[in-house]
Formats: sequence, C-alpha cells, structure tokens
Amino acid sequence: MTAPEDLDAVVTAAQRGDETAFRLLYRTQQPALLRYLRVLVGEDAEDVASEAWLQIARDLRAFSGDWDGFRGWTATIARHRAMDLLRAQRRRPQASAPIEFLTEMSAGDDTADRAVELVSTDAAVALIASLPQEMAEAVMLRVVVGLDANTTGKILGRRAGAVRTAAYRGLKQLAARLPPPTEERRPDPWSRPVTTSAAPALKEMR
Amino acid sequence: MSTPEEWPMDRTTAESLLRGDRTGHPLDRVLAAASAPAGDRELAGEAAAMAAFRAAAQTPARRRPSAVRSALAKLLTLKVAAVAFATTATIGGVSLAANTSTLSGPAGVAEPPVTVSRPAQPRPSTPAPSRTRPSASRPASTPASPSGPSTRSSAPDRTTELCREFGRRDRDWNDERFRELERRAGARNRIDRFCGFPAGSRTGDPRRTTGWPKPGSSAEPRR
Repeated sequence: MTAPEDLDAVVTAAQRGDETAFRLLYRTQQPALLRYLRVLVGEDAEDVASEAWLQIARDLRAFSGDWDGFRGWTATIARHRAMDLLRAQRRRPQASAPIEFLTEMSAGDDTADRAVELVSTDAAVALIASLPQEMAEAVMLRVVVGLDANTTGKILGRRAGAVRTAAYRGLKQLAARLPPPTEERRPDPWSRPVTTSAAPALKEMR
Repeated sequence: MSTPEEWPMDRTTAESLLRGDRTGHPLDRVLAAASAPAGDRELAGEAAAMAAFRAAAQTPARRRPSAVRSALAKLLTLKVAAVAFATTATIGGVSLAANTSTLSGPAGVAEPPVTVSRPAQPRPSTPAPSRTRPSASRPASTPASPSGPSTRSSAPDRTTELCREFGRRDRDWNDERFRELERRAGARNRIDRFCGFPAGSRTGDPRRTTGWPKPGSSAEPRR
C-alpha cells in the first residue's frame, strides 16, 4: 500500500498525464468505489464504476486537491453516477430494496454468520449493504473509502454529526446481527452441518 | 466485555471502528474484510479506465475551475468575438467594417486576464496607434493622472473599442459587449483599471465622467 503522502504526488503526476500514476490511482481507489457502489446499486456496481472512471479520467486535470481530496471527489462522482442510474430505473437504492431479505437477515442471520466466519469481502460488503441506506453509506464512506465525517457529510448532503450518528447506528445494527457472544451459541463452522440454515446466502439470492 | 444477548456498541467503539482501529470487537473482522485489498475481479475495468485516461490526455483540458478565467480568455475569445460581432451588428453603434477588422485582428491571442492590468506607470509618450488605449489618448486637460496601466500586448483594438463603448453608454450589463469586457478584465470591478479609467484609487471617483475619450475625439485612431 502506498503511503498517503506519496499518493498526493501520484495524484499530481496523474493530472500531468502520467499513465503509471493514473493506473496506481485506479488500483488503489477502484475497490473502495466498487464496494461503495455495491451498497447503492448492487449488481450494477461494475457498470456504474466504469462510468465513474470515465468521468474521473476526463475531469482529472480540472480536479484540485491531494489524495484525500481525490478520494472524496471520486466518491462524489461515483455516487452521482449511481443516483443517475437509480433515477433512470426509478428504483430505490439497493440496501433498502428486498424486504424479504431484511427479514431473513434478522431471523436467520446466516449471512451475518458467514460474514464473521468466512470474512470474505463480498460477505462483509453485503452485510453492510443490508443496513438502511443512510447508515450503509455512512459506514462505507468512512470505513471503506476512508473519508472523515465532514467529507462524508458533504457527499451525502448532511452534517458531520448526522453522519457520525448514522455510522454509529449502522455499526450498532451490524453488531446486533452478529452471532451472540455466548459460548454455546458461538457458531462453529467446522462442526456444524453446512445445510443447517434454510436461509439462502446473500450471494445466492442475487 | 459483552452482554449475553448481543455485542455491545458505543460511540467511542464506533468511532474507533470507523477509523479502522482494532478494537477487539468482532466487527473488526467484518470491517477489515470490507476494506481488504483489491481482488483481481475488482480491477477488471482497468483497461477501460486507462483507455479513457489516454483519450482525455489527447483532448484539450476541459472545465478547469482553478483557471476558469484564463480558460475563458483562451478558449472563448473567438466565440465571444463572434457573438459580440452579431450583437453589435444588430444593435448598431459600431460600423460593420470596424467589427470585421476587429475580428480579423488579434482577438484570438488574448492574454489571461490576470496578467492584463499591471501597476500604473507613467507614460509620457503616446504609444503606437495600433496599441492605443483610451488612457493613452486621454485629453490632456482632464484632471486624471497622465499615467495609466501599461499598454496591453494583445487585442488592443477590440479592447479599446469595448472600453469606449463601456464609457459611452449607460452600463447595460446584459449587453454582450460588456460581458466580454468583463471577461477580458477578469471581473466587473476590474474594468476601470483594465480600461485605464480614472478609478477610485486615483481620483476617488469610480465614475468615469472625466478623462474619458469622447466619440469622435482623437481617442479613436481607427476612425
């Protein structure tokens, strides 16, 4: 991982047209954008991310800022492109869409189990995406994109305090969905039959 | 550390988790997984992004908020001149021939406006006609200082004309010519200095009732 202060210089180099620098920016920032977009638009995240990078590449020379600013700027672009898509499709963001899925989450918590036990990136992002949108966005922008509360607030059009509260409530809900900490209920993936839960995993549902 | 029912969460722990600290909370692992390094699958769009980057490098820079004015001066001068031509041709007041000669002149090589207004320096002699500015040919009887901003090196005819129009008429800011002048000066409140008017800094009177070349006077070298 490149240190942030080095990435400041990388941003500048990319703005001057340095391809290697831009490639590094892409590789560093794309995963965060993609995962954030997954919370917003689900399976369309790849397409929306591609659109966002087209705009980033086109407007990079007009951008003014360092690596921190670049992260916020690209997240803003990604969010705008996601909202464009949602508007075009006249649908709500992914996180609040499948109501039966939320029921599954609170009842079976199989996805939560998997998130903790397997700790795959997909499962973790899916778990966060199951939160109400404002909480999911706050958590993703702060944890995955790595923005502070102020920047996150600007992107979401909310005050920093509201962002902190949303992120806190999101984490509280996530914690509540984790397997309870009591020893006898702690899941043991090695001894438990794979077919225990009837609830389908998130990936299977999509 | 925890209740039997569920994992606790408080604001302090939440802030630590959000910052990426290890807290000992099981969400550590979830959040770490969510921000894990990229998988190859996630970088599948790299080639397309690089292609977009190369394509953008081949086209002129667009929308530079940090340099809007210089971009305007460089990119829009011709368009503005064309619009101004149409406007003046419609409204009248300036002959078609004058406009034509203006358009064929140095309109495309305008400097970034920031560099235009330099500190006023004494100009004891009148510059060459092609670079004459209103200030340079101001009647000597006016109370205004004989000094003015140094002569601009580009688009003097058009600027002279715009400045003259600006001083002659009531300021109608909807007039395209005045907007062009505003662009050239960089800002509305810089037009006085830009045109070499006796601005408040010298006369204390921002109005240009004095020291302003009159139509038909010697201030119009091209007529």
